[in-house]
Amino acid sequence: MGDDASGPSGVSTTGDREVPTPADVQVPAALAEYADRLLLSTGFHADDALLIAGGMLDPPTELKQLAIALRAGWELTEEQT
Amino acid sequence: MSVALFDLGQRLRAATLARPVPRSRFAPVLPAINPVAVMVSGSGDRLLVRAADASRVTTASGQDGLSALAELGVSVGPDLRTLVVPDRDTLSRLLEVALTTGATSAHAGVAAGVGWWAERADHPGTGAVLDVTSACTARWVLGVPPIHEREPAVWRQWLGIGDRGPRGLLEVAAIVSAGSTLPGLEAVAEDDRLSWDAFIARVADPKSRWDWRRRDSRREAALGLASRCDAAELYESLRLGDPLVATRESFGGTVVSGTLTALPSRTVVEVTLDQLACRLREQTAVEGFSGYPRDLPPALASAPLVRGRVTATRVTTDERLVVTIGDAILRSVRTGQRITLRPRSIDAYQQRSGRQELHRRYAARRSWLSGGSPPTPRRREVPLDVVIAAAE
Repeated sequence: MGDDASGPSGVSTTGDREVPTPADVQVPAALAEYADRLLLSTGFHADDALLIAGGMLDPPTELKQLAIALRAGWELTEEQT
Repeated sequence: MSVALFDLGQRLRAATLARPVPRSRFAPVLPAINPVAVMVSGSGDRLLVRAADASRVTTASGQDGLSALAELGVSVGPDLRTLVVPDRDTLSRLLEVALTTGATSAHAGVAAGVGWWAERADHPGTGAVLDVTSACTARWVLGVPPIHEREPAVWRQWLGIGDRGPRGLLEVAAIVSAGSTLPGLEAVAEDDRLSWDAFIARVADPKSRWDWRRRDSRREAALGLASRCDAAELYESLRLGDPLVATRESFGGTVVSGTLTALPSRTVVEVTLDQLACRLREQTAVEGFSGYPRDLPPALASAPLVRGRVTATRVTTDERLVVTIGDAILRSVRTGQRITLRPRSIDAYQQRSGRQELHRRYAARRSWLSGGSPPTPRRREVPLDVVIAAAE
């Protein structure tokens, strides 16, 4: 059930834990497959989406909205953590 | 698509952090009241009901399944309790057991309570039933595909809950309802209380021949539908008062943000939106607040800058969407101001008085719902707009 590759934990944050960057992380297989399907028409894959969301890759101008949406989700999370 | 991409951004973040990330700032459910958690497995004689409250775990099987709840003191009494279930399917299965419990059975009271829980579960935001999977999905996003979030076991794993039984459910219920409750949900708690009091009075009335198992009368069905629709509308409206939910919805166009670009008259304003996605159709009642979607206040918490109806939308030559709001009541607005529009907040007390009026009208002798013969159905052409509105 779910994705064994992920390392879930409780909802409380640990302030001193080093936060991994998008470049350090491999997207878990099930999520990667889902992301690939979602991004099918864009030419991007899950790893690209991770880099775009984390602000480490900029898509072409015609896909600006994709980057805006991904980053908004990613950054909203950062604001709350 | 944009909402799915926004969610994907959150899912990737959750996967990176290896923990759930918040979808809402407020707890999307009411705190459970003296909760009883139930899990159901198997069927027929092999049916197994496991239940738990704060101090005990009970188990019962087969036709005697409801005794697991009876041992925990579940009854039709003055004390309203919250049922905690892993998912909606569990409640359906519990209701099946309740429906086969005879009116003279020792567990008839428990069965009636299950019947009431099943009815209240149709009211989003209710505190009577806590569907753990739905509540968690409303509160957090996981680093998994959305379909995996439908599995209670996945939530237990991500929330670090080791107990796989009903005790574990109680732990999840406590976590998902912790913190500040979504403002406005207290009105739903009041409805729960009113509903429970009316239910137990009806069940306990020795003169009444009413049986909760029997199909609703036409009038009860109509009022029940109104009550369920009101609850769904109210919950949706309250959720937009959560800044994180409002931000997400801005990617789907339910909430839109832009600049106030024109004030053609004292009752008309034009807002030029940041993006083209907008679900606010003409004639939609809206209200506007200063700032971005994340700045939206809880529903009915403060007076909006603008209150009116969408009267027109147009796209300019430079591909900007302009929304015109007419019949507007304005409060210290100026051009150039940043504004966020949302569907007008629902007032729970207006809804309640509306239902009381329906109750009065449906009870009148002239209403076909209360005894007259039903009108003959007639088929005719329906405008496409009406079909679309009904589908929405």
